[in-house]
Parts: sequence; C-alpha cells; structure tokens
Amino acid sequence: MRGSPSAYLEERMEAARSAASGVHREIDEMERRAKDLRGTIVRIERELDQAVRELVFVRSSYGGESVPSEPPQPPRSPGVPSFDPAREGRGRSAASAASLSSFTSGEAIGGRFVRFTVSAYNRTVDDIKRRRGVLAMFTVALSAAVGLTIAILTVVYASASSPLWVAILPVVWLVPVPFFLIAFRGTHRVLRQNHLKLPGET
Amino acid sequence: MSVPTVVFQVTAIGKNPESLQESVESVLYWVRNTPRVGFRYLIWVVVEPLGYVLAPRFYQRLRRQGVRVLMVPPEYRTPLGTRGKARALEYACAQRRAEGMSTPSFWVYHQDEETCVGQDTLQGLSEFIDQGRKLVGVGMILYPLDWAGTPSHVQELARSYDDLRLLDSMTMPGNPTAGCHGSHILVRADVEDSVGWDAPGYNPTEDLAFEIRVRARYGSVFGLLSGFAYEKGAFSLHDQLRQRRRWVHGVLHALFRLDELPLRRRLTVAYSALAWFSALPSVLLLLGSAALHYGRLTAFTGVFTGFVWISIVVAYVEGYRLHAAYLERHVAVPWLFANGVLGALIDIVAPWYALFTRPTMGDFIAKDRPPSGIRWWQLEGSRLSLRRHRNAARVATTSLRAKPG
Repeated sequence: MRGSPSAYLEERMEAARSAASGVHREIDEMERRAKDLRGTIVRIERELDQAVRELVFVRSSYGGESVPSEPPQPPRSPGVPSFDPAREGRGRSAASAASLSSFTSGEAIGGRFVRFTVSAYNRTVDDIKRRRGVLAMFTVALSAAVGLTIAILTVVYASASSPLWVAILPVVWLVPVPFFLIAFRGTHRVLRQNHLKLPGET
Repeated sequence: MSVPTVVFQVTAIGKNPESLQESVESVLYWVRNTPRVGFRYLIWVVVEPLGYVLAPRFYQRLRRQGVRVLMVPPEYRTPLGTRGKARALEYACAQRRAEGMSTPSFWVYHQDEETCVGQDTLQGLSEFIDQGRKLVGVGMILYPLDWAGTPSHVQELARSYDDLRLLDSMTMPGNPTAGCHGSHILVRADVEDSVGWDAPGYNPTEDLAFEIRVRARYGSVFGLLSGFAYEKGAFSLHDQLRQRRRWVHGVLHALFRLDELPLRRRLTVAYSALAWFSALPSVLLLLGSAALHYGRLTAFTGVFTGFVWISIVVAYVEGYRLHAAYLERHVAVPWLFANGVLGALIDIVAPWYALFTRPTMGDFIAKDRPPSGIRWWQLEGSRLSLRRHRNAARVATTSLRAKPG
C-alpha cells in the first residue's frame, strides 16, 4: 500500500533523532561516571590501605593500648576542684621523697635521663667557658678572612657598569648583621658574666 | 617563709604518651636522686581530652605514680575565649588560684611533653629559688633525646648554642633580640597566675605573649636558670617546617594583634622577624651572583656577610660540642654537614611558607619515637603519601557530591 507520507513524518524523525542523541549522551555520561567511580574505588582502596598502615603505626607507638570507644569522664568538675595534699604529694621535700615509697606504685624508674648529671653538665659548661676567648677570636678572624676574600673577588670580578637595581641588591645581606652582632655580644656576655656551674655533684 | 614548692607542669595535647611518660619519670627519678634540693614538689600533667582518650590507661598509670592529671574539660572557656595551649595553661592557673597556690612560695616549672629534667636541672631550680632575686628563670635546652643526626635533628644543635644569645636577651631590659622559651622556664606562681595566659582567640606562640605581658607588668624580672633541660627535635622535615611556621605565625600574631606590645618591643620583634625573612632572599642573591654582577657595593656588604656565615657555622659546631656528652649516636662529619644544610634550608624557607599558609591549631608534632627501622626519609615519604591520598579522597568525595542523583 502506498500513500503519501504523513505530514508529521519529518517532525517524528526529528524527535527520534533527538531521543537517540539523548540516549547516546546519557550512555556517554554513564560511561564517564562509571570511570570516575572506578577511580574513586581505587582511591578508597588506597586510603583504606593507608589507614591500616597508620593504625599499625599508632598501635605500635602506643604500646598496644587499644583506643577506647567512649570518651572518658573528666576527672573532676571545671569549677572548684578538691585538693588532697596527701594524694598530690604536697608537703614532701624532694630530698625526702625517696623514703616515701607509697607515693609511687613501687615501679623502678630509670631511663636515658639517668645520664643527665650535674657532673656532665659542669663538664659541658666548663668546656665552652674555657674556650670562650678562642671562640671569639676565631669567629672574628675567620669572619675577617671570608669578608676579605669576598672583597677581593668583588674588586676583581665586579662589574662597574651594573644597573642601579642590581648594584644595590647585596644590601639585603646587611639586614641580619645587627642581629648577629647583638647575638655575638650577648653570647659572650653570658659566658663571661655567669658562673653557670652548679655546686652539687653525686 | 614556708618551704617553696615547685609544680612540675607538663602541658600538652597528650598525643605523645611515651615522651610524656619519660618526662614525668625523669622528674620522679631525679627528685629522689638529687642531694640538697631545697624545695617540695608536685607533678601536674595538663592534657586535652583528645590525648586522654588515646591512652587512658597510660594516664591512669601516671595517677598511680602520684602525678596529678588534669584533663581540660571540653566545655571550659576562659573569660577572653583563648584557645589552644593557652587555654590549658589558663586552666592550670585557675586550678592554682582556686586552691590557694598563687603565692610566692609556689613556683611553676613548665615542661613540654618531651622535656626531661636532669640532676642539673633540679639543682638549677633549687639555686634559682634559693637566691630569690628574680621572678622568672630561663635556661638552656639541649636536644639529645632520640637524636639520630637527621636534618631536623642537626638543626636543633644550633638552637642550643643560640640559647646563649636568648638568655642574654631575655635577662636584659626590653629583650632586644626577641626570643622566648615555652618550656624550661620557672615562674613564681603568683606572677604567672596574676598575668595569666588568657587572650582573645588563638595565639600560636602563647609563650611570647606571656613574656611580653610579664615584662610589661613586672619589668625585667627574668633571670638565668643554671642546668639544662633535655628535649628532642622534630623527627621529620615536614614537622620541622610546621613547627617553624607556628613560631613565625606567633611572631606575626604578636606584631599585628597583640595590643599590649609596647612600640619599642614591637620594633625589635619586627626586626627579628625581618632578619629571619631576609635569609631566603640572601641565599637567592648569593646564587644569583653567578649570573648578575652586583658591583663594588659587594666589597662592603661582603665583609659583614662573612661574619654572618661564620656565626651560623659556629652555632652548629658549638651546638654539637654542647651535645657531645649526651648523644647516644654520632654521625660522620660529611653527613652532619649535608644534613645541617638541608635542615637550614627548611628554616630559611619556613617564614615565607608561613606567610602563605594559615595558622592552625592542628600543628601536632610527633615526639614519640617512630617504630624502629624507619628512616627519616621514609617518614617524609609516608607523610607525603598520606597527604596525597587524603587529597585524592577529598577530590573523590567532592566529585561524588557534585554529581546529580
């Protein structure tokens, strides 16, 4: 059967083309989203992996103590707290504390800090104080030598025809000079005027 | 007058329990093993709830050892609403005021969570209190704990030598080179509690603000504390950078937000900051000299440049000598040199980095020793990788949220 085409054929074809194009766009969009989603999943997997490593680090750092799920209660109200001199150790002199075994749980204390003695301190302080004069002279002499070297290099190699903005750039090097001069004076004044040494040694 | 009492106060977030434990034990050990110490003592550990939650059994153990653990309640607010460490310090002040401890016979010795004391520290405290001439004592800090010769650790050697400059400056009227310590300082309790730590908002370096306030109210009351304190440096360059950034933010905060800062102090603080900021341009200028010819002016500036360079080198060398008796590990000189240069580069970049980043209260510096076998560059690598993954997760989350449906 033949007949004349519908008057709406072109319009319908246009609608079908538009729908097909829309479907195509949607498929493209879905593909893009799926790709994004795959990327996100990869990132999440990496992040989880990182979190596991961090957890292992935290556990090893905290000596195996588990992190509690609930926050603890504050030890006391923020207002006026009670004060128990006996519990706080108030009234004990440092010298007599050794005899008060009830103060601690009885655990033996020791560590790297046992090396931090008065004699080690006095040796260190003595050493730097003894070398103070040499140190000052060394600083001044070496500074002069370096300064002189720079001056000679400048005279030999510097360009007399530098533009002004280039020529004045080294002024920046002068900015910290007063600070270092004051620091030099202050350091040597502390070493000279203060005895620093401590009397008590074990 | 009654026998003085020293409150050994460790104020921290509490996320470094190993270090904190060692710090407390050093006090407990040396108060028992130091002769002729003329004070009674208390140990206070002031921590944030976050730190407490991470290791509650550890803090319970401290309590059993006689330590008073003060957890700053989350709802605690100071009158001016200060945040960060200053809030915890102010909380401790409030406790002392409430308990009648804000008197001349109480002294507060401030420690960070990794600050260990030695026999010399205790003798120094005793001597300072006995002399009774000054209200605040400041001393030198060494960094021998867990010292491994890494770039960030080598950098701390120079800090100890620089403490001699700092001590002179702090004990002079006006503190001409603007330095301050937040730990290894001894403050008479009535002085500290009258000045307090409260200030509006977050101050990255509350110690500098405190020093300024004490000086403004009491004058030049800072004295030299004999004896070292023993601490540890940052374990990674990233942590070193963040620590320095916090200092720079603190200085900038003092300059622009601290109304109590007198004009003269403001100028000295500004100049100290400027001197630090000038380090990076100085190095760039030095590198630039290969291509640019600066002219005859360099003959004049070069004389002083030599002095600056030598002063820096002397600080490293003498810092190393100060630590020599305490280091458990020694590093070959070439490594020491290379790591010193790398660590110094971080310090040079830090102020500029601080300019382009915002202050954050989350600048937590790990002080507990990393698991054995991990090298410093692996630490840097793991941190970078962690940051990269966090960023990736953030991007993924954002893109998922942005998608319709």
